[in-house]
Amino acid sequence: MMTQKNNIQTPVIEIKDLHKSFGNNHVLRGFDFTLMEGENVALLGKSGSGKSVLIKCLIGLIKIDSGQMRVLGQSVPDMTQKELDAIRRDVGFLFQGSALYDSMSVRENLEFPMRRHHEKDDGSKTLLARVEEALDSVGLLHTLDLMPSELSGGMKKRVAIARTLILQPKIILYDEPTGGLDPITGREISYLINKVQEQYKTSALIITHDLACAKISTNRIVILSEGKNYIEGSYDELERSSDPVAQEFFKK
Amino acid sequence: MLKRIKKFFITTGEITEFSIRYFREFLFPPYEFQELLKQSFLIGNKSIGLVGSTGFIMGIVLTLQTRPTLVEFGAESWMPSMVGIAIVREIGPVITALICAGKVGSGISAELASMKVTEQIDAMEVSGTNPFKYLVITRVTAATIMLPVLVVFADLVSLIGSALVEYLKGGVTLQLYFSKVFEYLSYGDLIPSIIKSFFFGFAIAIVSCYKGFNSSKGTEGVGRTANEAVVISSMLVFILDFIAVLISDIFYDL
Repeated sequence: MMTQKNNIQTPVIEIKDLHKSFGNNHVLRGFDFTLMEGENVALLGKSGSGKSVLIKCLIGLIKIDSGQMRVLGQSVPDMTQKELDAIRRDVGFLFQGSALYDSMSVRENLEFPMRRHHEKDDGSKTLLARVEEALDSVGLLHTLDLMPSELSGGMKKRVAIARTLILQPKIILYDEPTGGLDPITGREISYLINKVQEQYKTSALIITHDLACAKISTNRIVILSEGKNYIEGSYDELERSSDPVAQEFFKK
Repeated sequence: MLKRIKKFFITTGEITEFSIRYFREFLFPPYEFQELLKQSFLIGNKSIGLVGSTGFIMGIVLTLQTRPTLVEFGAESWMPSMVGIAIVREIGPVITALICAGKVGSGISAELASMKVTEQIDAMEVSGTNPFKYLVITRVTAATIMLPVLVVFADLVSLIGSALVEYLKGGVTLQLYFSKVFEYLSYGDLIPSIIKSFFFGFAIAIVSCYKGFNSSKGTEGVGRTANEAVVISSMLVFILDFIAVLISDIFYDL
């Protein structure tokens, strides 16, 4: 296989031999994974297989039992709270249920992460201009003063994506971005993920059950089975694979 | 039964640990002043109508119920001082605390439980915010500060209600009524009442925050959490009141 020397990519997430248990439930049993810069990777797995646990470990919301986990070159388990807060500025997280703050308007939801990271109006752009830009990129500029309760499921996801983009992260972790949405809205969100990658040059790890989303918005798919990186490849490779676990996901 | 006793001790231990964490984190920056002001306004503003109307009714009821007996003994002139002391020392703080346990406590626990279930607390942490400082410290501090304010307000409104009955039934003017009330009220009545109100506010908010912050079992758990928070904090109000009365009794004897 030929490699292009002028296109060497650097890993933004490196996971080696990751273990995580909850009591007797061994969720992750030696998981290995690497996400390269500019790559969108889908993580498939059955419900309860530990996908959400994995990305919560990546952002330091859940502590791992053993193994190595590096994000943007820094070892997550060894980070202090201050270092974790700093790395979280560069890693956006889209929660499964959008997790918009109910008591805040859309504008306040988007301003919140900027204020928490002490971002202020600079000469070129005010905080409001940045909020408007992020909302515009997801096509929801008109929702600026609405409350989350006034938005549909798809709109909430879009606003949540705008909120993850507001700090211009290098990596975005998507937890079921199309979960609970109808196929048409789901497809729109999948294309939006692609648009985000092109516009903001992000890398992304996408947890999904939605094969259409995996096909549209990712370069590579990893199947998590029995707590391990069971098999990985492109959508077409896995669809053609005779492996029984891959077949379970791809059979029509 | 054994399981219940074990759960009681575990919960007590966890609430104590949660309270210790409050004091530890309260002392160190960052301080969320803006959120503290917002929560203080919400707690005060949301409860003032209910506290006021309940206090007013309590003043009227207490006076109407007590009056016939005092009239029978020819002691109706004792009415303002007796009602005043009863309201300021006991009825005002306890009734206000119970109303706040129902209204503020259930609100805090349901809000935090719902935030927990919908991952809003995780989202806050990902945004570089310490959710304990932003959500718990502010709410507990706001409730601790605002409850005594509400108690003083409830006492005043309650006395106005009582004075109204005395004016209508006994022809006692407001001026005479209040001069009688303040003649017999001392700082020894007011200060212990204010001090215990701080503890009531703290207990209600810390239990509600603890319950909300540790909620589980999805949306079904939100209602259960609010219910448990109200039950435990109401119980705590009575326990704290009992302790406060015992302690203040020691000082009265000195």
